[in-house]
Amino acid sequence: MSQADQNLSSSNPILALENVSYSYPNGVAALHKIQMEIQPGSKIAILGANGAGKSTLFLHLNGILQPQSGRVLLDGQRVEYTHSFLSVLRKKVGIVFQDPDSQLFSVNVFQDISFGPMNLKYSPTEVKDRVERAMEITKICDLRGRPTHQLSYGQKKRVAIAGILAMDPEVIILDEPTASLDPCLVEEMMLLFEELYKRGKTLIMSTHDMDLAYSWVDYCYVLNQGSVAAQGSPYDIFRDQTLLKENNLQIPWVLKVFEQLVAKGLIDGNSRPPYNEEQLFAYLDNAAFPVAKQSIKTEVNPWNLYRKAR
Amino acid sequence: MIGLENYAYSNRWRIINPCDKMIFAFATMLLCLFSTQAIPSLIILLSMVFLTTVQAGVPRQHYFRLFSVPVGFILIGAITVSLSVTTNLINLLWFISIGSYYIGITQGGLSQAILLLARSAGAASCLFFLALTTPLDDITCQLERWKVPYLIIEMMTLIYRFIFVFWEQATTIHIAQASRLGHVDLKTSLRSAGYLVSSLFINAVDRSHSLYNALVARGYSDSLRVLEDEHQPTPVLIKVGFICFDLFLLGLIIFRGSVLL
Repeated sequence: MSQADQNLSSSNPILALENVSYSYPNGVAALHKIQMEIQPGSKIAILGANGAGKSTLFLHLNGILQPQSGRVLLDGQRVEYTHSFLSVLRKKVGIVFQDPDSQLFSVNVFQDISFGPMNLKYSPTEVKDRVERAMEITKICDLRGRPTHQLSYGQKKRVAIAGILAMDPEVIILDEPTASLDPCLVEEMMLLFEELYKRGKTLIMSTHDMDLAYSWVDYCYVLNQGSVAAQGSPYDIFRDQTLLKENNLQIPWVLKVFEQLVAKGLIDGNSRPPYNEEQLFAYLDNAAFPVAKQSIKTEVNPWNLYRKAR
Repeated sequence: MIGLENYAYSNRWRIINPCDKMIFAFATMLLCLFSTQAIPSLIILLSMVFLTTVQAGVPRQHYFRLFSVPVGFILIGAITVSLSVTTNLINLLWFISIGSYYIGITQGGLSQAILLLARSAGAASCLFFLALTTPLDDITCQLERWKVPYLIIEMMTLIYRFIFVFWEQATTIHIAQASRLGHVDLKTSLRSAGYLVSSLFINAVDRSHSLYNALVARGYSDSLRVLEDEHQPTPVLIKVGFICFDLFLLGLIIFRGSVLL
């Protein structure tokens, strides 16, 4: 039983959307009858092309936008757009926005991170503790005294995440967290998210990185023009060729290679598709490669050719 | 940008308590503005330059380049003040004649110009001392302790932060324009500058929306409260130095005023 199956079997979603529709004041319809259930402690990917409504959806989960029809539920309770309820909602659900420059308002890293916990009316010592802890988890303790405008993009991103972690939310929404980061930073970022996941946080991320979504999350939602086009485990989503084509999604390379190997009869077609590189490579160890492999090597080896010529 | 803000973060006097630095800078500036003689102002100017470049370690070359900006304006003002237009030649130290009028410098005008020059440069040096040794977040933090209205502090914080965001944006746009020959001659240059400003404005509106969303998402309701940093108390020697210097100036202005200059 995988993590995803376990989550599906428990039936108390921390966040749920019921028939949520929203169109912007300029008439652009952004969301259409969205149905969604977020199980506590899960890793969820929201996939879809640019403009599919991912960011608008996120603003609903945090109560910044109010659905024009349908409702948002927090722990089974209908979200009310009152000051007191919204504080509860925003304490439980934090959003890390895509552009850190639009999130960091303060000149000082420490002060910026302290903003959220200050709004939750904690005592100064408690706020200080929370900021310290958030900086430790995101590994930015050395940036404490630095002004925000001197930070690199990756550092700003970490500070933005720390600003949310300091509020200790149960659900963390990450809007394209790995966009425009170099591969090394992406890896570091994913380690950080894995750490948060292990600490019991629910993570919701939008991403265009199919490999990452496929190998990391428990459950996927595919948005297309404001509606949920599909949902399911990454395996279900990414093996459905027509679904992928309709929503402009790509097949993760692990699956692509796996399918090629199955088609060529090197791997048993009934074996469970690999979720990541390691699983795929484990199959390769047992794969029935034809003997030709060795002979090709000897034929083409320039040293052998040279020797033959002599 | 121009490096001003980098020194505020990296200078040797950053650790000195911002409260003391601010009181010292403002008190000295007030003394400078109230002094009716040039000597105290010149003493202030020299001491502030000394404190900023030698003590705080701001590179002298960079300091003088920054300082030349206000000095340029002050010089223009002082020259204008020193000139007077008269019909008689009495008291004129130097003049040119235009018809029956003389444009020249009188003894009074000259000393007034020197006083203006000294006072403005002295006051500017106080401001430079503060700006180059104290980061803005330390200043806003202190202003909050002095019960300055939140609105003003928030505006200061946001404006300062977004200067850098927009400066970066403007630089990017400028480079993108230049790479497509947007600045080959004066005409295209002007047009490109217009585009730059308008897109920057639209960008500003856009950013204000997303900033507001991001703040609300973190529980913003009416004020940008943050936890203030704690600062070390100023070393006693420096504190005493600040007080003695200002007392000395005060004495100089009150008692020796008539004797000097």
